[in-house]
Amino acid sequence: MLDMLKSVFSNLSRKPVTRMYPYEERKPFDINRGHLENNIDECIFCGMCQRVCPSNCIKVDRKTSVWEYNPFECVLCGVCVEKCPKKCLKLDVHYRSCTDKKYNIHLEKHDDSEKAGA
Amino acid sequence: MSDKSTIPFGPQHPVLPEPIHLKLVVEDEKVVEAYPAFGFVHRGLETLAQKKDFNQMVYVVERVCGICSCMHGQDYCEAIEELMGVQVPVRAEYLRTIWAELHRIHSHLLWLGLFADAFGFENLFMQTWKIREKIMDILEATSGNRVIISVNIVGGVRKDINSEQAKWILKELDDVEEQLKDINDVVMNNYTVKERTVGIGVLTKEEAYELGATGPMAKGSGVDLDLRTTGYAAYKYLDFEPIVEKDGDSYARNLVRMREIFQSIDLIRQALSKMPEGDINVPVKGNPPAGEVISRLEQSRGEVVYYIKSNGTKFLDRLRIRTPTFANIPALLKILPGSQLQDVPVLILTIDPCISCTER
Amino acid sequence: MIVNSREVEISNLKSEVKKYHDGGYRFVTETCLNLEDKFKIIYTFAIGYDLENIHIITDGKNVPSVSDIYSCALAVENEIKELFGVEFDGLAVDFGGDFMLGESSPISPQADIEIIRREKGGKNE
Ligand code: SF4
Ligand code: SF4
Repeated sequence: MLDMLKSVFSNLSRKPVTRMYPYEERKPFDINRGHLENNIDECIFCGMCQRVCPSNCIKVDRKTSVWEYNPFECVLCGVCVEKCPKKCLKLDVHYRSCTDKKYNIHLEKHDDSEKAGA
Repeated sequence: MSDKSTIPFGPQHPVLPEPIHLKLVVEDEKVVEAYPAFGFVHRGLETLAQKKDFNQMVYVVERVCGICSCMHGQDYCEAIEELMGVQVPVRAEYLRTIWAELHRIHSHLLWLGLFADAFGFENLFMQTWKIREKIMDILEATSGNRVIISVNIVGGVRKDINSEQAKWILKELDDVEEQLKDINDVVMNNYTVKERTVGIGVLTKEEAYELGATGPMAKGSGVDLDLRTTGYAAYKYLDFEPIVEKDGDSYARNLVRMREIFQSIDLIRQALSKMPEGDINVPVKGNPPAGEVISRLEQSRGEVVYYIKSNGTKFLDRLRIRTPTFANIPALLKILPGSQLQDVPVLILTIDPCISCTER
Repeated sequence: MIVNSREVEISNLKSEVKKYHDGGYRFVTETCLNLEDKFKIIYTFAIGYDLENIHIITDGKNVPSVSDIYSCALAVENEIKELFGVEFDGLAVDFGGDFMLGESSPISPQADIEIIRREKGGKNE
């Protein structure tokens, strides 16, 4: 029984090991794979990301310049980011916030580079 | 007066983190027969190999198991590399070893917590998971994800550990080791723990060998089989002895796992100090040639066997995964009959079941 | 390890397996493969860290079960029976189709049948 005493006393004097989320958030690590973002202005719609993605959640249409992405099927492996020739894909360290509806990210490039979310 | 009755156990049960169903035929409080049923989380991942190309499959096999995911990826990559004759850089071998050992630590700690929870020792559950959090942080800081770290690719690894991170990892490991030593005394000498584990579920050496048990299950019974001694990845450069206990009861299996955690910490220290500089992956061109290959490695739960048949295209013909839990099921069915009903959760958890693995 | 398995006649299977058993080999696994209209079953044994493989080619009917020699083979033979529909003779314990599958599951899901393909994703599916 006495074996535990050391832990007991150190736990008494230590700060709690848990955090009061959501008032206090942990700073994410630099290489955290939070969510995927595409800088559509740079994208050339080569379709590389669509070909390498293991979960087939990216759809690229070269003709209409549409890049569509289903964030709920993405497994955040980051292969698309590595393989993108223009380096316009990026994994942000913050997680996508939770939602009660599924949605697709729909990005289009027009001459005036208009961005549309859906 | 002995009436037999059948008790369904699982798939939803307070002590089971995963869905396994057992039909227990009991006579009073004594289990006389046990029939398992799986398949609640069968995902058909083996069949998926015929639909995804071999590079994409790395990320799929990692999802066979949520706990030793890194080692599944590693084994799969080693199989494909052997088929294609790719030699991965030495640094990549070391990195794979480090991540695999980190996974072993966190898997054993997770198991210890759940095991303590199974017989109502919830304080221990809390303590081990507190320690485990440090390992998860190391995984997150080095790879970007906590569990499914996706670092292995055919030809090497994707992420590197720089010297600053290495220093930080060593510091954290010291901390982990110190805290674990406290817990070790509690787990191994505590009256409650001993009462619930010593002499429970004895599997003799002959039975363990005959039933094809692997991992801590076999090592706890004195079968001296640890695939790491065959020297895959960087284990050929490291110094270690497989950990074996003689008694074959639940306590011995505990002891094996506990000691393996300390061994893994030591292996990571060795690997970090011996790791050479260099590339972390080599480019792989073309498709795997037609052929069949079997690749094995030692996971936290035992020996995993990957069988791959390739036909020369980018899709594999057949991928078959024999996971360690699957090999330990016959041993579980052997130790269940004759046990008391209240020991069933303890016995199930002592094989460290990973049901998702078993079903793939 | 690159596999070089030795083909064995179905009639000799049991005596071959018995030889491995008596030679102190431990049973590792059985692997079932779809051939055109047949099945190939690979038996893997290990002594120490070395593997040995033998295989049989069968049409999926009346395959002799080795579960009376290696009792641990019954788990994997039940799995093959359910996922591929191969019938084994003399299974030590037959779980009657409840091992991996449930009542409303598809029948022998891993045998060569058409899996419904998803529409998404272009070339690589
Ligand atoms: S790989 Fe990069 S450039 Fe090519 S389509 Fe995808 S995001 Fe655009
Ligand atoms: S991160 Fe992985 S799963 Fe997600 S879109 Fe990129 S390749 Fe696909």
